[in-house]
Amino acid sequence: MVVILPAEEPITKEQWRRLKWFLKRSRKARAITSALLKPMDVVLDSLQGLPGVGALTEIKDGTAALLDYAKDIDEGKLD
Amino acid sequence: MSTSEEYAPTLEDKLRLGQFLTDSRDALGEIISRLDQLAPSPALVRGETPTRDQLSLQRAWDEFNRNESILRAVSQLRSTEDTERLDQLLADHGLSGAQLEFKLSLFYRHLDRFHSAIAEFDAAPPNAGQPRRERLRSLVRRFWRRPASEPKDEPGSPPESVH
Repeated sequence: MVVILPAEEPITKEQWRRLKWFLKRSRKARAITSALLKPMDVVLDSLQGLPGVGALTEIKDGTAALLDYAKDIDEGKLD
Repeated sequence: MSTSEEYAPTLEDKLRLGQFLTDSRDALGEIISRLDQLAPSPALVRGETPTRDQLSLQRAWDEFNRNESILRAVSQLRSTEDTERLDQLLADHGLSGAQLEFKLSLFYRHLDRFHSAIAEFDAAPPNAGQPRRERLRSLVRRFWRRPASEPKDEPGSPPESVH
């Protein structure tokens, strides 16, 4: 992941260790969350005729888009 | 057009679908409340969290929840009156019997994994107080600083425990 840190605030070794711990878990949790949204999508897509399901699906799609964006940034595909 | 007997959803199928809808809503709520962990940006490191997109999604989510329309979908699934159209819809999309079982089992397996991954965030980082290398050094120093008179692995003496 491209991490931009302000030069005037040097990061300590301990902060860097905690940041690496956090980013590692973040990547793992993001991948698992994206995997959860797929089977959710399959069933929600079939229930579109019911009230509220369309709106729930739209929110889910928006959430998935944000996760994909974060993944692309993490992989250096976007600035 | 009538629903085939073989694929007609049972009341249990529809109750499970209702449960799926509430579980999906709850899972999405949890994902949205943890976006700063799941989708951190470089701004997060600078302490500027959450992002504009995340705030916008949070507001949309709050508005969606105020409507509570998903509860109407759940009550429609629980209803036993005038179900022919709904039964046809569910049967056409394979939301009954073994097909529904398969689709829901996938969802719930991933939901369990999601909860485990989220729980890791709530736990403290490993060796939070002291880096591993420092703990090892401290252990080695303590070992070599034992008094010279202290017996070392003499036969018959009880084994020394290392803390």
